[in-house]
Amino acid sequence: MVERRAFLAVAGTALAGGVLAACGSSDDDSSGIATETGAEQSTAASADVAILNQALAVEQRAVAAYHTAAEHLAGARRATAQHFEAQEREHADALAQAVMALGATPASARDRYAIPSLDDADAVVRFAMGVEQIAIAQYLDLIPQLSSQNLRGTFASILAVEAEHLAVLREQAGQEPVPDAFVRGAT
Amino acid sequence: MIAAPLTRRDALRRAGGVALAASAAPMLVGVRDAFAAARGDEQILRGAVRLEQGLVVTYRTLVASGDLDARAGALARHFGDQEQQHLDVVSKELQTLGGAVPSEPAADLVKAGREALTGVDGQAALLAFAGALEQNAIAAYYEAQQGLQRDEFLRTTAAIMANEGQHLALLREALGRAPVPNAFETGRG
Repeated sequence: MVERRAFLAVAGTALAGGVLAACGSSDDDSSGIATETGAEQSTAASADVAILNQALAVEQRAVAAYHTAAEHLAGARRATAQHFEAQEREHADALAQAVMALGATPASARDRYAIPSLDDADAVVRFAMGVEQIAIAQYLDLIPQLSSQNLRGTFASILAVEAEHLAVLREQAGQEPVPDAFVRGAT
Repeated sequence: MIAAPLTRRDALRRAGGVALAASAAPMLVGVRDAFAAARGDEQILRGAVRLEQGLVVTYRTLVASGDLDARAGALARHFGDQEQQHLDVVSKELQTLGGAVPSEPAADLVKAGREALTGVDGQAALLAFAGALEQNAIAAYYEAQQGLQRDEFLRTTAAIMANEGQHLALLREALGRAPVPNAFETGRG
């Protein structure tokens, strides 16, 4: 279930943007595009839809990755993978809702994702760490591109959770969990 | 976006089930309020400097308290070092805007910190206090994402917010709690 406050932060902004775009002009816009014309607002909303769908694709891949990871793990590590999968699904659901609130269609998940050979539990954890590193880098890249200020906050709240996942996975892999003061991920 | 003021009760509730002395509230509120009135990149970065100063002072005080065991002490030292790195970078970014970096650390912050930690007793309460500060910092950076304009400041503060989230996760774990309880880390939970 999507956390209510976070969902409202996403959906509220998206709805506001959609309404403003439909009206064509506005004096006041909490998403920070108050001085733009209707056409510019519509363009900004379209750009945000594309960014939301990029983030959605990242989350759909993460859901698939953790689902596969859980199948290869046991005990506490499996429970962690299942917990993280559920949280990635919450991210995906919230992003899809935001896309729909802007009047667009969310990107569909692929039928299958490329999964490397996972020979043992350590390989599975390393694979999950890689997925998180990519997600973190993607969110850092996407945040400044968003025109909606509330969506920036929502993306940052997801980014922080991906960073937390990474710290837990590093710990499970016997690595220093928080090696860097600035979490930038890797592509 | 300006958040509603943080009350003393809100602040103490964020300790997550570990009792904190009422004297901790001014420190928690002070750190949170570092951003509350900020407008524009320069003011937000000045708020970030003040916030990071508060975190550096807090972790140094925790390490010096002698109340942490070896593992918790190492955690506090490591996190304090990372807060110092944040402080150095946000100070430089503030200077690129021509802003003056506040003297380190602000006297009222030190006073609030001293009073806060005077009333906090035992390792669990100290770690919970650090966790409450981290949560406030996350809330502040979350709001900063909605107010900052320049791309490089957005990236820097998002990367810091993610690191504060990692600190919070490990502090929760050290307190025997689930490290990642929520799918969205807004600092408000």
